[in-house]
Formats: sequence, structure tokens, C-alpha cells
Amino acid sequence: MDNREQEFKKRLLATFIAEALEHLGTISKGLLELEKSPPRMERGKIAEVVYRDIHSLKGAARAVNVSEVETLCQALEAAFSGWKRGDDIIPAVAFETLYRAIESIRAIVASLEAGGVVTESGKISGIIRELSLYGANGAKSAQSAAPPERDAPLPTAEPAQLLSSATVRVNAQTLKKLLLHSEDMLTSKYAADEDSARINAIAELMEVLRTGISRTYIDMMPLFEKLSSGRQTALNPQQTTELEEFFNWAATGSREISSKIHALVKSSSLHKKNLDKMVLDLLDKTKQAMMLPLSSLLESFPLFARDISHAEGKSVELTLRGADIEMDRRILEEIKDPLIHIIRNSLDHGIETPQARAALGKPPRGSITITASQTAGANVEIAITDDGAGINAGKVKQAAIASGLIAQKDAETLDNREALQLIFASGISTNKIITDISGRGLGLAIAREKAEKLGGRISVESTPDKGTAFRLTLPITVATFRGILVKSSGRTFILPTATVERTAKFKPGDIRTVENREAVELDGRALSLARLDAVLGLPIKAKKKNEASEAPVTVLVLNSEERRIAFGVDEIIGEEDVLVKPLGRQLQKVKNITGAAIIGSGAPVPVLNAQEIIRSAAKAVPSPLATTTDEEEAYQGKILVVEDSVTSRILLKNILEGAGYHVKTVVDGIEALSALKTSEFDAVVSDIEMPRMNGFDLTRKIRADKKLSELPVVLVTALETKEDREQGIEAGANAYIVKSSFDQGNLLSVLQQLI
Amino acid sequence: MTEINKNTADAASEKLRSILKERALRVAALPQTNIPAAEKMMELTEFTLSGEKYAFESAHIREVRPLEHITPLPGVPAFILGIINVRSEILSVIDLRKFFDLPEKGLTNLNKVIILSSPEMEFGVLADDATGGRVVNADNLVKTLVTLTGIREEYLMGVTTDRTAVLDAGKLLSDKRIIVREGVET
Repeated sequence: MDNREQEFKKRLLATFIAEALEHLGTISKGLLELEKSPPRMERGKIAEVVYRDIHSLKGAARAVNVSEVETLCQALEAAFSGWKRGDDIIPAVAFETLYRAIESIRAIVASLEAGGVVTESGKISGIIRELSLYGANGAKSAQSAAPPERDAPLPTAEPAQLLSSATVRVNAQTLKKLLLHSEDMLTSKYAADEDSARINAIAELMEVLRTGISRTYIDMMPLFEKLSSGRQTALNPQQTTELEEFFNWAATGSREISSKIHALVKSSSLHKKNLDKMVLDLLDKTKQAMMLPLSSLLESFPLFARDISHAEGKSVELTLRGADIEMDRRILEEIKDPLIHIIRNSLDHGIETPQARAALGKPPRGSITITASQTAGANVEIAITDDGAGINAGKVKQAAIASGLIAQKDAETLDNREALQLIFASGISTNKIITDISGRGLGLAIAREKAEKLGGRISVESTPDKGTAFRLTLPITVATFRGILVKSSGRTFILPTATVERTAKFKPGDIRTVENREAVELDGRALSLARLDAVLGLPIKAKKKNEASEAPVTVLVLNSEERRIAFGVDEIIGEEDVLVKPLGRQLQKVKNITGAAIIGSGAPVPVLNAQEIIRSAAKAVPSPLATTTDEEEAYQGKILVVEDSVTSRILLKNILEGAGYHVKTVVDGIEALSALKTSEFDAVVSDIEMPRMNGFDLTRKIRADKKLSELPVVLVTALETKEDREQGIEAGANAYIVKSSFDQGNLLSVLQQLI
Repeated sequence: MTEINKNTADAASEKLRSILKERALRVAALPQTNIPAAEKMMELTEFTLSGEKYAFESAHIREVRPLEHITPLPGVPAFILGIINVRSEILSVIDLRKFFDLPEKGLTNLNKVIILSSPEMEFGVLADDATGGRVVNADNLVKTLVTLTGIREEYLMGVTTDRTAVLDAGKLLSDKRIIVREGVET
């Protein structure tokens, strides 16, 4: 078989898997409804739907040559041919067989999806034999048939496999609109091409003007020197003409550039307006294509609940409400595991055995309801309610105290509702709280983490012996949100605006130190102050000596359920609409960080998790002020020294370190650039003549880099000619120090001015 | 064309055909052992890092791209240099020297990111330069030099005759130790 054919077969199989899961969903849902013995009319309608889906599934299985599914469907179809008119009631014992048949198909599909082979054939023949008792031929004998034996445990398929499949079905209309919108974007692309050409033309003109001006300036320097020293008192006629011509030339050039820029400003603001609208429309339509009804996730839950409760000798009915609400596929994928965990909790520990329930006067059959409803804003609330044993808030408190999560005296101030929320804490084993939860005790902590990551919340309410309700509030779609960009230790971070209560500035004198921790007073209340760089474990950048005591501290006040903390940052850069993205598959969970957003320059910026940094700050973080040592006080900044000569390198390093700078040395421009890419510096001191990349090229590269363009560059060189100095300044160096006239005071005072 | 020439041409092409046929038969009759088995051939993408030559099997590489901007992250292991933006998707980038505890000797340029990818995992590996691809016979990789490279044996497939260390990208991709999952203890 050649590759193309194989590829095609693979694609065909993938399509079949997606389709099969869809049919299985409908069939299971139908079976559950039929099991509740609906009235005759309805019964016929439901059975008819199930029959049709079985038939379609059979056809699909035949097309991809999955004969096991085909024969099972054949048998199911035959059985349903008798029931689909609704005349006959499906005997209770038949459901067991029907569910086993569906589970078998599900298991086959799952193994196909995993790339494996079908292993169910042994069980299939038994199921088919049992099914043959029903339907047109076997209906009469059904009543007398002995209940089928359950030989092996059912292959319990994880619910919601639909979501894990690699293919998505998208409404053709939506897809068509998407294409139209994408085509629309082309006009913007052409407009951007045009603008880019205009900018190039301006840049060329500007370059001519700039070099002309700097040449003239250098040419005129001797003249100015003569004038200022009094050796010449007036311009001679030729000089006057030259100057006049120069100004005339410069004025004309500037005028031309100015008018070109005006035209560009006009066209680009128009394009921006168009582009804004197009991008938003396209995003909107694309989001619609990503929406799936909640039922795609939930429809297999009732069957899943039924299997688990059966295995535990309990009887539970799981009901879905509001499952037609549509949510972003990416959110549905994320909440699948937390939902399964919560439902397993209810099944294992919430719902009691029929005997225990009878003793309490409850109906023997427990109930779990999943209710989805749209709430204010673009949010959906998913409530998972059971009528089981409930959670004992007192026991939760005891476990929390035992594990050191809260202090005895704090525990006393918590009411029952607050105490219950402690079950989401990751530090304590839920095993101790709710007696012996099967599996991972961290499930609820993970559920909270997921909800917060998606910008949602989770809470719990419970009444002993009455039941428990988990409420999961989630955004409908992965939306952009307002974020505040802050700088800490020279790095940029984003905090969701919604988590920031307010911002403020404090004079260092207003910061008190209590028990080695800093605090400030805001609106008459004491508030603990944490430095963001210390909380995140960033290298702490001490202030320069002269500004240390005066500079005000910028703080953001963050608020979570339990605590309110002020975070000190270097500065607040601004506010932007941001879209949080995951950090890639390798970084599944990074402490204090939710994800990253891509800002205007294309650089990814970490988005901080407000709840987590509050928790991190609450743990003892030594205040940087309290631990400041003399060494840190002298710290002036970090300098990158670029020099190929060992002697000069050591000399520069010694001078700079002696003056309190941290120094890193590299041997040429290329190494310097990679050092600049991986860590932050306050200034670069560079030689000019070096192998691979010289100081001029390094300076140009630094100026051309968006992030580094503002970085002070000092060139230190043996080259002393006018041309060299000119080239250095043209390249964009901030200072030019000639080695022959080098003294260390000179270099240090230049650096002091620049940093 | 004259009649004689045509005949000569016919005779020549006839001769050519018979030579080709004979060669075809000879090639067809070659014993199997002389042809390297297809599965033993490996396509490699070579790169340099701190002056040393390394290679990954190309099958594990999604793309090689220039390093533009890398954002460091607080609170991650030292071998993770930071995150980059690859067409609006965030990817983590690792420094093999830190991961393998290699001395950071020699000049370094850090110009390229090699993106390794499997269905479950994806990340970038920082390199000074990617020097191209070639095909080698897996049987010719030397295992005895393994200890000289300083790389833990489990990650090394072998060393080529020109001393390029062939790293096991599949092993790196499936290594649980490379995954960062902090905050929630599992």
C-alpha cells in the first residue's frame, strides 16, 4: 500500500471515530430516557432516533471495515426494529445487554483511536446472542429469557471522548463566513504593504538629511571653534552662502519628510480602523467555530454515573439541565477532568447506599444534577448538586488545623461556609477531610487551579445529610481581558486588572517594618507590603544610592478570598487587552504564573496568577529593605564589558567592580549580543576592534533591536581619528572614550550620567 | 540522415539497450546484504553549541528558526531559558548545557532555536547554529566514545565518525524530568 493510500485510510478512520462517538452519544442518551419508561408516544419517538443512529453507525463501520462494530450494530438494529414503533416496552433486563453492547462499541472505537487493534471480539458474540432474543423474531421469547450473566466487568469508557478526538465538525455556514472574513483581511495586507513602502521612502529621505546635517556639523566645527575662541569674529561671504544654502537644503528636506509623514499618518489611521474591525469580526467568527454545546462533554456522564454506582451497589440517577449552552471547546476540554472528579466524589462519598438512604427517609435512588446556566457577563455556572451525605464542616476544620493550613484561633473565626472552601486547598490531604476519597486527594485542588486558570471560580455548599453543591463559574469563551503591565526587577509582567483593587504610591518614610515584614497604611487600615521581585525570586535590583531614600514605591493592592496584600513594583507601564496563552506543553504548571500574553512588540510577557502570588507572599518573604547589606547598597548596576584583549578586559572589570557595578565580560560583539539576549544589563562598555563583530556593528545591532535600543553604549577605543569618532556617533554610541586619554574617573562619570 | 548513419545509430542504440539490460540484471542480482537496510539509515540535523557538534534525528524536529526574543520566567529550573513566541504560540526553550551539566566553555552565539516535537511534547532547544542535515548509517555510530562527550549515556545514540554527538531527541521528548509542574504537588 503506498503512503497516500495509507494516509487516506488514516484520515477516514479518524472521521469514523468522530462520527461514531457522536452516534454513541445519541444512542446512550436515548437508552437512558427509554429506561425511565416514558409514555408510549414519546417512547416511539426516542426509539426511532436510536434506531436511526444505530443504522447510520452500522453504515459508517462498514465503510471503514470495522466488522465488529458492524455486526454489533446489526444485532442492535434487529432488536430495535421491534421497539421503534413504541408498541412494545423494552424489558428491563434488555437494558443491561444494550448498555453492554454500547460499551463494547465504545471500547472498540477507543482502541481504534489509540491506534490499537480490536480486542473485544470475545465478548461480542455473547452480546449478539443475547440481543437476538429481542427484535422482530425474538420478542416473544424475551420475557422468558433468563437475566444475562455479567461475566466480565464492563470496559468503563472515560466519558466525553468526543472532545479528545482530533477532528471537529464545523457548521458549513460558519466556515464560509470565516473564509469571507479572511479574504477581507487581504485588503489590509495590501494597505500595510503600501504603508511599508511609504515608510521606507521616508526613512531614505531621513537618512540623506541626517548624514547631510552631521557632515556639515563636522565640517563647520573648526569654524565654530574659531568663532567661540574669538580667532574669527564674523563669517566671510563664502561661509555665509554655505550656511544659507545648508539651512535652505535642510528646511526643504524636513518639509518634504513632514508632508510625507502626514500622508502616512492619515492613511495608517484609516487602515487601522478598518483592520480593527476586520480582526474583531474574524476573531468573533472563529470563536463561534470553536463553540460546542456543553452536552458534547456531558452526554456520556449519565451512563458513566450509572456504571460506577452499579459497581458500588448504589442506585443513582444523573440528570443534565441546560446542556445546550454553548462553550468554547478549549474550556470544555479543560474542565472535563475536574467535572469527572467532582462527580466521582459525589458517587463515592456523597450518595449513600440504598439501605442508608432508606434509614434517613430519603428515596432509595440518589440523584446528581448537573445544571448549566448563563449568568451575568459572558459566564456559565455549572452546578453539580447531589442529595447525599454532605460534607462535615467541623471535620474539614480539624483536618486543616492538623495539616497546619490554618491556626486554631483562625479556624474559630471561620463560619461553616468558609470552612468548607478549605477542601480546595492543595496543602492538605483531602483524604483526612472526606473519609478515604478514592484516587487522588488533590483532585479538588486541581479543579480550583483549572477554574482559576480559565478566569473562573469554584465554590462548595453543603448541608449534612441533605447534600452537596459544587458551583463552577467559567467564561463562555477564552476571552481577552484587561491586564496591567508592570515592571519588577527590570522585567515586565501582567496582572489581570480584575484582580487589582487599586494602585497607590508610598514614600519610603510611610513604610513601617513590623516583625521583619513591611507594612503600609491605606484608608486607615494596615496592609502588608510585599516586593514583587522578592515574591517571584527575581534578582533584587537595589536602588542607586542617591535615589534610594527619596523614590516613592508604586504598589498594587491585590485581593483574594482570604487576604489583601500590597505588591511593590518598579513601575506601572500601562493597561492593555491581553489574551492569556498556555506556556507550551513542557511548562504545565509554573508557580505564580498563569500563562503568557503576546504584547505589541511580539514578545511574550508572563501573566501572574493573583491568588498564587498572594499565597506566595503570605509565606515568609524577607523584606529586601531589612536584608539590605552594605554590598547591595553600593550596587550601581550591571555592566557588560566587551573587549578582546585580556589585559583591557581585566582592567575594565576591576575599575567597574571597584565602583560597585556588577560586571560580565565577553570577548566580541557576537558574544555580547547573545549575553544581551539572555540577561539584563544597565550599560555596555565595548572595544571597537574585535574579531567576528566589531564595536560599531555591535552598537548598530543594539540600536536596531526593539528591546535594547535605549541601552547606553560606551565605546572605549584606541582609534582616535575624526572619522572613527564620527562613525561611532553615527552608529549610535552614547559616549566615545579614547584609550590613550583614558582615565578611570572619566569612564565612571560617563556611566553615572548614562545610567 | 543517410541510410548508413541510421543503421549505425540503430546498432548503437541496440548495443546501449543490451548494456543497460545487462546492468539492470546485475543490480537486481546483487545480494541483499550489500545494500544498507532502509531502517538503519538516519537523517540527522546537525548543530553546534559552545563549539561542540551535536545532532538530532530530523524526524523529531518540527522546525529550526532564528532566536528573536526570549522572555525568562521566574521560578523554573535553570535549564529552562524562557519562552518564545512562535506564530502566536508560546513555546519553552531549554539550554542543553544546563540540562546535561556541561561546562559552559567556549564562545557561544545562541542564534537558533531547534523545535523538537512529538504528539505529547514540544519545546525549543537553543543552539549556536544549525549546520544542516545529512544521512548516516546507524550502524556506524560509535558507542565507545560516549563517555567523552559528557552527556549522560541514556540520551546519547552514539558518536559519528567525525565526532558529532547524536542525541536521542525521542528520549528527551518523552522524559518526564523535563516537564515542569510546580505549585500542586502530585
